Amino acid sequence: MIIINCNNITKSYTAALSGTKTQKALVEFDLRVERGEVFGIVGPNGAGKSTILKILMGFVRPDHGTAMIDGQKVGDLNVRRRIGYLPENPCLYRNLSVTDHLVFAARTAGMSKKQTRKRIDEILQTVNLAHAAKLPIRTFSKGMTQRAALAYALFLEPEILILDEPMSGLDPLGRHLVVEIIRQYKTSGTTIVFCSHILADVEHICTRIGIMNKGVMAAVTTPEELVGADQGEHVGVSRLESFFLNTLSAVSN
Amino acid sequence: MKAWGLLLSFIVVCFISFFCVGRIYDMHTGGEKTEVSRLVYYPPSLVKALVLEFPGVMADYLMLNTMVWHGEKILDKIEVKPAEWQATYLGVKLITELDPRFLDPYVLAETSLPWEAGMVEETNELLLKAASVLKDNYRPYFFLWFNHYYFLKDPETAGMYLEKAAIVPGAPQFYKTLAARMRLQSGNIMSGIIFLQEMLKETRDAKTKLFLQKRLDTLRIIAALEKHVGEYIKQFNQQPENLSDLVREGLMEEIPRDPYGGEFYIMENGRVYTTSNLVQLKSN
Amino acid sequence: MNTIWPIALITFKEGLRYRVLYGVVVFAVFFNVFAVLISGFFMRDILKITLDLCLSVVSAGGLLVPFFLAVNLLSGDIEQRTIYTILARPASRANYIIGKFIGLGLLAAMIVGVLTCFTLLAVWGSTQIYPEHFFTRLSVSSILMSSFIALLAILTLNSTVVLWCCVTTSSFLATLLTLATYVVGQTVEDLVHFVSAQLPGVDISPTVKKVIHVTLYIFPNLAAFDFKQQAAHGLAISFQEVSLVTVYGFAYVTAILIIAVLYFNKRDLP
Ligand SMILES: Nc1ncnc2c1ncn2[C@@H]1O[C@H](COP(=O)(O)OP(=O)(O)OP(=O)(O)O)[C@@H](O)[C@H]1O
Ligand SMILES: [Mg+2]
Repeated sequence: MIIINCNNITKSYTAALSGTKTQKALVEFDLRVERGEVFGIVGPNGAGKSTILKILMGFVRPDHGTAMIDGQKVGDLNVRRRIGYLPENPCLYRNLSVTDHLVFAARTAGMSKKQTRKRIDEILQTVNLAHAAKLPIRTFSKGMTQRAALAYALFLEPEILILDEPMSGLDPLGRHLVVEIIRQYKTSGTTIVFCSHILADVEHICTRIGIMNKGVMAAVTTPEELVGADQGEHVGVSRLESFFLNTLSAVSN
Repeated sequence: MKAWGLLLSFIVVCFISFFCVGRIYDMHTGGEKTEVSRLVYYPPSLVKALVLEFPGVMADYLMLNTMVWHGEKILDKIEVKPAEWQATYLGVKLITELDPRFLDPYVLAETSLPWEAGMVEETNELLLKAASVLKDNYRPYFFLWFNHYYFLKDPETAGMYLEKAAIVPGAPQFYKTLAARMRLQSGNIMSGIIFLQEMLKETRDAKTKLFLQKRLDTLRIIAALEKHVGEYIKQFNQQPENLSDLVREGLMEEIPRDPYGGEFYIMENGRVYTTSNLVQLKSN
Repeated sequence: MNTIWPIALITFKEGLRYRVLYGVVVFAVFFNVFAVLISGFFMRDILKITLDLCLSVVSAGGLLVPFFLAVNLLSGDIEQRTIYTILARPASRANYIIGKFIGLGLLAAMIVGVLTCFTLLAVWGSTQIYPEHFFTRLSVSSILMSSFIALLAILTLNSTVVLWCCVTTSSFLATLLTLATYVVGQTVEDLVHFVSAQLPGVDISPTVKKVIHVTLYIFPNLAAFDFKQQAAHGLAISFQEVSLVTVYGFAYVTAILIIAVLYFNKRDLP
């Protein structure tokens, strides 16, 4: 069953002062994700990955086309309640602690005090931040901030996870931790859409992989298809990496 | 080596900075300032708009500056020039536009402007404004009475104001009978003495007290002189030509000195005046 | 589920982390002591001088919220994308605006409340130093009323800051617009008086008159919220005037917030 359905989306940003439209970030973009799928988006910088994820959250409005989640328009409160979102650059309040953020999330969900405390302990244990629960975010390292933001996204056990580069800024241990968390949510049936530049991880955990370039979905593949694929001239790199490079050179020709 | 160079340049720039500050200070204190603040020359409505929601604080600030400015002049016995009195009047006008219920500026105006700058009409205008907003305060009408009686020599209007002052709650009891008494008494000087006594009663500031006391003393001397002139006329059926006549006939021990440095003299109508006109004369 | 209150609380909590708040407290203590001492230089209006200064500190301290905190907590929120943290939860943009406004209101109420307590303390200290007869006009209820209305003024200004933060993309521009709103709001009533009075020798074109009259209705009339002088002179503040001003404040705030929400709903948050 399709849970995320984007149809023919075009988006160009408006420059703040002049009001002129910049180059298109998304061009007639389609995306369909089944329930329980882990969909990985890869693509060069500026391909429009973050833009489509922001459209799914309702932060950015498409110029044309429709984006629906579970039959409802994106941005609808009932939909957003079920989503956990990790922004590209962790956007936490620098002067507040990770606990303050989680308490806020619990309040919006009407959680009881006891439940909140329990869940906070649990999630901080998961992302390995129990020791820094009360420190303001500004004292965190980049990786700690990233993990705090992940804790915030996962806090309310969402049905859908939208993660914008969840592994960026993490050390190998942290990366492993994130991959494990995503695996865990995958087995519990959560739908996950994420983008990343770390192709090895993407290849390992996704059920489907989309390759984006200049605002269009250039190709969609699955890890199974990659096994039998021809690596072409790219030797000594992972299968996804060679597929990625092949796709991009095919598009630019 | 580097540290020494740094220290040296630090000391040098400190000296330059101190030198400049000193120069700037001298430049600013050297010139004569004829007014408390340049603001007094702007239209009050403009100033009122400029100070946004803080007219009260601005009024307090200007009032404090005015008091300090005049206090220094009194202390150093420097004569205040007519242009400076005009600026003072504008200042009081501005302050009372910013906060019409502020009593101090009215009192400052009343105790100085008519006496030393002859600005009776201007002061009365200020006092009428005060009377219209300070409905439960007897002082504005009391001041108006005094100005009309003493300076303008208009007992009719003066009496009207005194009656108005008398019916304000909290007004001294004797106001009611004062009007009647005023007609019997020798007049002018007596009203001045009453006025100054009232002012002294509610003054705490030592400088102002001295200032008012000096004026009161002089008026008392004049009152005494006039009394003796009256006695002389009774005795000799004619007016003394000179005040020294009083001493010669044994009515007085000696003619007292004018605290303001002037000389008392007698007019044809029997009134005594002083050449200082109650304004401090430059001591030689 | 209601998200307004959590948003207000997190805004309040974040605002409390700004050190400038504690600077204001120190400044206010210093200024109030200064007020008590300086009032002794005056002959009669000791209470008035003290209250003039202290109540001005209340207003000025409260202005910290629209001029500094609001711009930081709102424009900064949008500039630094921390707004994603809030909108990632099921909070509508309307709830975001209202929650932020309430959070800022809580901050303003806290500042005004604390500074009003300081004012009362200063007056009490003053009664200990100066003779009793200077304080016959003291009216605590007028002081409290004046502070309450000063808070309303700040809330009204806050609502316009919220609007400016919604329509601009930079906190600098938002600050400038706030400053302009404040100055216009404080002076526009005087201006209308000025152009309405038929002054001899002053010729004002009908268009200018129209523009100024329209301005009075568009910008918040902040001068109407200024009861400092009445409180300083111990005059009773008429209930009718207070209720009129209160109703005006609420209506104005609501109108501005509606515009802000309508605009914000349309806006991209890239
Ligand atoms: N706020 C913005 N204002 C104007 N243009 C923008 C804005 N954000 C993104 N763009 C433009 O939109 C295009 C897509 O940007 P997007 O952030 O979606 O890329 P991305 O695929 O996430 O890249 P990266 O891998 O670097 O994160 C880019 O050309 C970028 O210049
Ligand atoms: Mg991106």
